[in-house]
Amino acid sequence: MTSTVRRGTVRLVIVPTSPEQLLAEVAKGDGDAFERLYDQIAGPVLGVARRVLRDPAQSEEVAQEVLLEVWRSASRFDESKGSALAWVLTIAHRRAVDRVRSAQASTDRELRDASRSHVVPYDDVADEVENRLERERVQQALGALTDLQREAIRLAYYGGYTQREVSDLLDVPLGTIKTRLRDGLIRLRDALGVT
Amino acid sequence: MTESIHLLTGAYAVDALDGDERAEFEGHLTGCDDCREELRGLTETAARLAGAEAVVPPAGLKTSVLSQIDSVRQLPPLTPPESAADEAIAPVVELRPRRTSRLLSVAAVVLAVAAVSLSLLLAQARSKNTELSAQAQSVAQVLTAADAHTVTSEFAGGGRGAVTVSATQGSAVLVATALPSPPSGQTYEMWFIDADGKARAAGTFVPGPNGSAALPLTGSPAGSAAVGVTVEPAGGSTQPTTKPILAVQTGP
Repeated sequence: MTSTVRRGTVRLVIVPTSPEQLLAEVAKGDGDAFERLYDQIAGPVLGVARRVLRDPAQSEEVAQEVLLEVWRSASRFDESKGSALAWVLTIAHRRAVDRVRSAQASTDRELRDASRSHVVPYDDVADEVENRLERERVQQALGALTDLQREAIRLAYYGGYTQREVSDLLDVPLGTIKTRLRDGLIRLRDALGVT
Repeated sequence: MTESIHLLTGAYAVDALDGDERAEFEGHLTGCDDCREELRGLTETAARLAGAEAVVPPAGLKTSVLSQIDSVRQLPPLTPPESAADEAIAPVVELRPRRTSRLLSVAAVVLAVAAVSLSLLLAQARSKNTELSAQAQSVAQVLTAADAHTVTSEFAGGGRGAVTVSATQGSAVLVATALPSPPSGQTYEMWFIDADGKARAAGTFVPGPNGSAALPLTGSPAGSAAVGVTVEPAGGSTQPTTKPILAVQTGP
């Protein structure tokens, strides 16, 4: 919110700033609101695409698709189902994962067999980090999980693997993976104070 | 089975379900308040995993995205179904005529639909769920029948639908693409509609990932003149309670 004072009158100009407010404006076709929303979401959108896809060119392509999708379907955002950022990042993650699964379908098996022996290569992020503090908090919360919870969540979320593939990769029964993904996330939720 | 499906909130929140499982769980979600509530928190948590990965985007990305929004048409809001006790099912004559000028786009839609159906069938064939395999089989039989006749149209809220009818198979199939999920607590329901506008319930469904669905209608198309889809409360209705979001003429 900003207020402007003009010749003795006080005019209160409400400038929507939260992603939720901005999305509502975007849904009405407001390009300026979209630009402000862009500034808030582009970093995380590109970041998650980057983390899942690795390839910078593909990640940028997916990020662009996702950002245009946000513009296109802003009217479909339903606040009762969660925050605007979660809505956007759900789209971004799913889009990235779908891209990985379709692109890799053919060459996947060999790669997967090759990677079976070293499961934890997720540390090679060279990009300039946008929010170091948040990253540290999340890393810390992940660190407090059991090894199985943490690896299952990282393989699924950052690796884009299906629960079945995670079960194969970790050589743990599928039922256990389902349970660990759930109780691991619940623990993360509580540790991060998500309401 | 019922017990284990509740456990899938975690896997769903991190997109660890494959296409079929995702669709099945989304179907379950429409009727399970506990799962929806739990999922809300887990989705927010997953978003924090994403947010922690934020990077500084290159300036070119912004220029590119902002320059493109002018050419991207925005979706209309999903309107809640009207309390349409008084709204009879939309007359079949209201259908948008698909004439020769549309032939090309219709052909494109049919091709796209065929591709989607094939991939859905493959995904379903891989699934160990026997119910799905049987369903995939009957979809395949109708789509590949010698007398299969396909009519395409658009859903009112976005997405394309193709209805294929085979008289020899005594069966009809709906293939939907890019169809948004129904509002929570609601489902899509299919109808056979006769020439007098009487509707016969033909099964409910919820689209899977990317808004895709391929499934046979319950019952025979015999005696019907059209196929319609409406939004109904979860579980379905015995008669349509809202205006159809899709209606295609399939018979005389």
